[in-house]
Amino acid sequence: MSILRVNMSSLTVKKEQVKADYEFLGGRALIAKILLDEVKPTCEPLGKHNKLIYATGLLGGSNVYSSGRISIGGKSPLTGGAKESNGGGVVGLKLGRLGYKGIIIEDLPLNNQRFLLYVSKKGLEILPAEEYWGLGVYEAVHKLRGKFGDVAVSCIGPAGEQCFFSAGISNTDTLGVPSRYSGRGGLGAVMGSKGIKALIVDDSGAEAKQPLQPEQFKVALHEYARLTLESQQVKVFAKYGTASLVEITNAVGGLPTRNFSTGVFEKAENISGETLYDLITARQGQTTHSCMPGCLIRCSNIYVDELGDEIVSPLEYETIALMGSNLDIDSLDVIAQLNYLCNDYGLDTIEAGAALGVAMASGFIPFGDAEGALNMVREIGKGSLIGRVLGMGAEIAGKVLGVSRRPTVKGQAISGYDPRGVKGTGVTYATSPMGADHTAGNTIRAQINHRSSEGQVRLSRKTQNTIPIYDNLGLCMFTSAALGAQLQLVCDLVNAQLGIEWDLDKLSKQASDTILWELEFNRKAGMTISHDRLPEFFCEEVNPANNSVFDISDEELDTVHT
Amino acid sequence: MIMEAYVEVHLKLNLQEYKPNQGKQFTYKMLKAATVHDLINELNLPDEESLLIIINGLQASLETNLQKGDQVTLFPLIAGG
Repeated sequence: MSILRVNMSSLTVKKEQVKADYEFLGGRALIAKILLDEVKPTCEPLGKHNKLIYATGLLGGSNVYSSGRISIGGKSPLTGGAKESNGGGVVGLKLGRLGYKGIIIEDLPLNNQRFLLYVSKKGLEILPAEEYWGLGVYEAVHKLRGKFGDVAVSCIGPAGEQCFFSAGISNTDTLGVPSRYSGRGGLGAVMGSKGIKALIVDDSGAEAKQPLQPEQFKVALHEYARLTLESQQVKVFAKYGTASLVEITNAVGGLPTRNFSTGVFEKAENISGETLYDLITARQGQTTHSCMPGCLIRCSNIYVDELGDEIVSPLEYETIALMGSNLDIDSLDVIAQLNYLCNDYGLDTIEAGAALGVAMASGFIPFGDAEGALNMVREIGKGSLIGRVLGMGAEIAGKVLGVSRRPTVKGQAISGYDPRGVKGTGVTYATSPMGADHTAGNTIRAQINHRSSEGQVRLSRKTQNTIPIYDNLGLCMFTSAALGAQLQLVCDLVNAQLGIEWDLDKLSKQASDTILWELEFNRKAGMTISHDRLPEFFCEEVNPANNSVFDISDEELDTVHT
Repeated sequence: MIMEAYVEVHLKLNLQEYKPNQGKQFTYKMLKAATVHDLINELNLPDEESLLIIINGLQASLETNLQKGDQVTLFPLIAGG
């Protein structure tokens, strides 16, 4: 395995052998360690000293199902701290098959030049991108795949080009559709600052990485597949997708509604997983779909209009929550259109939805105004003044528009769980080095009373320290449905693939180290415990859905990582 | 004392598949004072530890005693998306 190092100023590429202490780091762990080792924590996120890092998981490129997530990282312009944002699709898989553990992109281009990075068996080439700059993500990827063939593309849209802090990076799926987002943290802006429109991964001639202990691998893989296919949770995801969560979070008072003013949406049924399933079925779209080859979970879908034409793929819970109930919009068709526009402009739908929520709270447009919401997203695409304000995310947009109820932590928007309704996830939002991000430790699956403050700190700590196991290996976090109770099986897969002998302690230690590295980077970047707090209104304003405030004390929050 | 109680049961998402003849919601007659645990057992639903239980709009537990007229909504527990 090797690491590619690209300098955007000198336009040079180096292929480096992996350092000994990086050998068994992958995904989020590798990003955290490189950030700590190489990136000045106080640097300007859009400046020459920040680096954009792509990292495959330790299982990346292998035949382990759902192990091809791509981790993208750097110092986040949104949080000002360490950021890893992982996405599905085939970018991670192909990069892993080519034998690259990661790509480190440094410095800034001279004279605002724009480039493509083309990776293949031959290495990495820097190509001109002028003809693609300015294009929406869908058109850019269509053209790139027309030119380069069946390649994976990781790409930004106009939002990233203009360095909007809500810009994500889009990754293509099995069908070449660019909608698997490494959405969070504004990494699209970092990519844009470096003048890169797209990373193209051509794995022609490369094969899946073979396990070093094939017999043990076969046994472990078989067991993993069995557990996955038997999992009730997987059956739910395969049928209803992540939209199945709408009614669940609504039932516990955690569905963000009208800029997080309540956790219950009276029209939730119109945007629920069951309604989505019925609608897609009646219109002959696809209710289930894999974002990467061999995925047994198949949580994705293809959402179509009344004529059966695709609006967007996939339509997922987070988008439905932040661009649906959070905006008082109860039409899946409108949410799907908003989602498509965000994908095309290269926007994180969570950040954009939260920004629209504060815009509505300010009275700039009314709650429930579907046409107004669509127009606001179009303004972001155009880069008008209001579009730029909203494109910078909920924290900046809220400040500009004079809104004190800004649902953000460390400058990043809270995702689809009102912290007063799902308090464990609230603890994660407050204390994760990632800023507000459910993927850093969501507790909605836990058998706990989500309204009670009891046990939430312990639960969040445990979840935050478990998630990096998946993030470091390139495993989709939904594999926890099968593997969560069987982490020894994860060890077995890793050991058989890599020919090592790790135990559960080693796997867990690396996950905890990942968090510690991120916390250290954040500390050196200037973060203090004052950054580990939820917005005040969650602690002061009662959530009418469950008659509760976020009542976990500052002192308790400060024990999460100590 | 033996108490007769009717509760309204809502089965969400794929839990409906365990009661295909009864639809998404139905009235259920409990033969004795019972807990949610008893109800789930009688309905033959799988893996009671993996259910989210809502009674009259608030989260409840397996040990919660059912009252006449309660609206019981059951979801499979799933990880967040």
